[in-house]
Amino acid sequence: MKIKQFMKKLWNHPYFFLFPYAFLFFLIILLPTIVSAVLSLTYFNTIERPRFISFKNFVNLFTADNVFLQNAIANTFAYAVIVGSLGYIFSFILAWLLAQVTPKIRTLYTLCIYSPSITGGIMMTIVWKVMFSGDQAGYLNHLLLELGLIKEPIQFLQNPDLLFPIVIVIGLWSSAGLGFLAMLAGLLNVDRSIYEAAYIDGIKNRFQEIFYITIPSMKPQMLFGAVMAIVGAFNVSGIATSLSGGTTPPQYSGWLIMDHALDYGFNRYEMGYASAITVVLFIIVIIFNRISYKLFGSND
Amino acid sequence: MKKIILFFLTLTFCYFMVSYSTKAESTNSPYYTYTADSNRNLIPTTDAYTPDKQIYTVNGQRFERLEHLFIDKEDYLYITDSKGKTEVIQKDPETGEELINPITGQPLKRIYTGKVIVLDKNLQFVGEIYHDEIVFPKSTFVTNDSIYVVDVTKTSIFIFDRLAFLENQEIILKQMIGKPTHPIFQDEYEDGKRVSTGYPFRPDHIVVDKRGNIYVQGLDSKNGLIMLDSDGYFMTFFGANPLRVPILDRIRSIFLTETQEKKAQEITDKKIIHDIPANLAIDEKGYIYTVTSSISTNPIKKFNVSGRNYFNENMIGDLNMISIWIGQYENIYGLSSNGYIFEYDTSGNLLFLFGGKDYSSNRVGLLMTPVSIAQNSDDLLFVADQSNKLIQTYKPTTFTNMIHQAFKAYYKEGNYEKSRDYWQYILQYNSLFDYAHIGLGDAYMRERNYEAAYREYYYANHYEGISDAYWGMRQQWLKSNLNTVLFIVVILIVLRLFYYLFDKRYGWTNRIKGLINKLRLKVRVIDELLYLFAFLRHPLNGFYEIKRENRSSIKTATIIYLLIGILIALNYRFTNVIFVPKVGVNIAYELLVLALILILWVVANYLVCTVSDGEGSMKNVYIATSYSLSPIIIILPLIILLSNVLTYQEIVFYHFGYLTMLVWCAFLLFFMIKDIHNYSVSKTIRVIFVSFFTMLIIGLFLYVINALGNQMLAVIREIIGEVIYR
Repeated sequence: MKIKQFMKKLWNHPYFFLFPYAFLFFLIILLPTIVSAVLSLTYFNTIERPRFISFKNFVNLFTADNVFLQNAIANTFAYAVIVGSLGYIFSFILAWLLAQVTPKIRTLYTLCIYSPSITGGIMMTIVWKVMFSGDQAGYLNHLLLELGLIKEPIQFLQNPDLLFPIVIVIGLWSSAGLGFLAMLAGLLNVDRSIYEAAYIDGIKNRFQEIFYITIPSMKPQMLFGAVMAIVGAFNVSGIATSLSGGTTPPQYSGWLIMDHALDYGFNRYEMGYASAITVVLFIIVIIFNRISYKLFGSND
Repeated sequence: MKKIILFFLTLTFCYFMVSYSTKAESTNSPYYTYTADSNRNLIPTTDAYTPDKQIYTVNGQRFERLEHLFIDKEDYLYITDSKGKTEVIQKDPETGEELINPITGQPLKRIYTGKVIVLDKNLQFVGEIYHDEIVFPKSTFVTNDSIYVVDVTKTSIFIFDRLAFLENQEIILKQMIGKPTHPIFQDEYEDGKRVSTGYPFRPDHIVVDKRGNIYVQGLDSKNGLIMLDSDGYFMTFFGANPLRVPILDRIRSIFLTETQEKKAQEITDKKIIHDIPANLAIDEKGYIYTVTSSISTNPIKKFNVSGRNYFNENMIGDLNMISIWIGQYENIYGLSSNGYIFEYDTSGNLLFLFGGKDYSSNRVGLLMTPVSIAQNSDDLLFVADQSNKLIQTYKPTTFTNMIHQAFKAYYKEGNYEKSRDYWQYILQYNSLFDYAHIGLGDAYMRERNYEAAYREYYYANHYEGISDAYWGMRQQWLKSNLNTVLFIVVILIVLRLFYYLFDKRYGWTNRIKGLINKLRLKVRVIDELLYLFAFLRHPLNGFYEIKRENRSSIKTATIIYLLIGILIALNYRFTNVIFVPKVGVNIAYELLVLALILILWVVANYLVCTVSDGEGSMKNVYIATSYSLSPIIIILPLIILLSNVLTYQEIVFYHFGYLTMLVWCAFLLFFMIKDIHNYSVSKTIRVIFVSFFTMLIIGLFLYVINALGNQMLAVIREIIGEVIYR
């Protein structure tokens, strides 16, 4: 009787309903994060047993690792601020434009705009390398030579001063990702009657419409888009290397924190150190997300 | 009595004059010496070189037309005299007997015009190089075993055996290199008629690298230097100056079709300015240096093998630089035909500039038509002066010798400690010599004495250096303190957690909030200042409240303006020197200008808006503008603090902060106008432009009134003066 009662209680307990999601969340997201945080306090080379060294990885990261301090941090920050914010605005404008066209064409356009963010790696080598190729057969070089603006081909992908801007351009190009889809969905879900009411109340143009009605009524999607943009911008890796070829880009131009982590993790097999880098990145992303929650989140 | 006093006065005056002049520069040189400070301004400095000897004659024979000087590694001086004559007694080639003129009975002589005179280290005559083939020798180049003589008329390079000449005065022609056989240099003929002329090969000066390749600087050689291998075969062109095509032609060529362009090309070709190098040199590592007399921004270029220029695009130079010499410390001497001698360090920074034009005053040390410069291993400079027909030598002062020793210690020997000692000694001579401060800073950097390096760079305003030294200081500090910092951060996080827990029970936050609220109710100014945060969170609401509900007062707005002013002053004073230079900034003046612009803006905006249906009053605009500028109060202190722990590596953080502040202010200002005056977006933009235009007009008007007013005041003053004196 007691057992039956207990079972019934358990069966109806809210945590039980939560269990499938909680279990998967723990297994797929929480556990790796915790393992990474723990490993960041150890020396671990994937062969020997991890050896606890407390904060030494972090101390080394902030005192001895010049590549990290001089290139990775500044580059990642610049990349995230430019690509994150511009890409976010860009996504919203694209989504808003798409919301204006008829459904069939909209689907086609959506596919076109969304595809760069999933095919990034392959497109990079095919499209962008040809576009910015350093000889006169590269599209951009050929165009500039034809116009007589330059006298000799520019080494776009080998020049450290040019590589980083190119990385940013490519980042912007592929920034219309999940956030864009969410914003499009949000835009399509705004209640039409609100617009009509607003026009009766004296709204004059589309700009005011966006400003006073569209954005406030799709705040959750805007927040989601912002979070995705930030996480996406900070988590990018490998653009510079795959453009320039080789394991590191010239003079670490366009070298991002994630590149650094991957370099230490899978080229040098210093998993502890790589974990420390990712923990730092994790903290940075959390800080930025909190800022975006402050900006876009609802007040309650 | 009066006379005696006068006498004493004169005496003291004279004494001061004398002591002053001895203090300033105890010099006997007829020119000033300049150096460049970190802002690339020329400033006078201690004498670097003093005129030493003048050589008029060699062997009792005067120079006829000096062309070129060269000093080889063993300090033999080769003087090219293109019109110098040598009389040689003819000998019978078979018997070796002297031939005698059958008519006069005198020995038969042959006169050669154009020769190279060779002096040894002590300027004693060694011999002369002349040859049947040589007509007009222009310059020489000497390697360990060959003497290269360039003949302009014959357009050829003659190679003589050096050792045979120096030991026995034998002139043995080893090789003669004429126009290369490569088709590019040949004229093209068709049916016996010349269709096109070949590329001009008119060698002027040459250098030879270690492998025997010859780099020829030729007259009219538009493609740059002509590189020949040791047998005289053409290899490639090298190190040309970029073409200067007039910008209009460049734009036009975009729009023209191919045929049109071909036609236009003929006209354009004449307009293109070809900068043809005037002289060249090679250093021990094989870098080729060229000097171009038609460029003033970067006359000297340093090329590596692949033809890349290492020198800055705008170095301190002069037009008409015609000769170049590489010293033994990789320092570079340039000579301009205006009589100035430039000394640069190995990266092209100006060390010294001295000398001057001699307008037939015949002062020792000034030059009339200098043509060539060279230096021996005692650092004695030789300059050939064509018009005065003499060779002027300059001796380095102790000051300069010390600098050279410091170079040697730093760059050649890598003995940083030694170079540090030299630089310190140099600074005793001239403590305002930026270059020495930088050198000393570099030496300290190598010793990892970052704080000392920071100090030295700071004296010299060398911002890159300051940044690097600070980087080092910060790393050292982090290395010893990062553990503590991390510990403190962890403790702070834990404390915050505890605060959060206990706050729930005891309600500390609420109590503090209550206190603040009480204060806000009592003192209006504090309430209005704290309103700023609410305003920044909801700016559009804020503008409404300012306009309709009288939420703020002029007093508060003035306080905000004052706060902003103080912060800007602090910005000039305390922001890291590498971001905001502190030299030549007058804070009061800058603030005054900003305040004037602000007043102008408020007035102009008010005036414009009253005539274009704006709703806001002057008071509204004044207050709302202050609140719109308030992001400065929030962000600028953070930037000032943050900038002091940043270096150029993290400049992106500084720029980001600044940009955020500006964008935020601009955003608020825009909506300020829109909401205070109740405009639409397009009208707001229009009003802003009109306001700017009004500001401009008011400024112009004030300027005119100021000028006229001054005139009127002067007139009134003069009238009063007249009245009083009459």
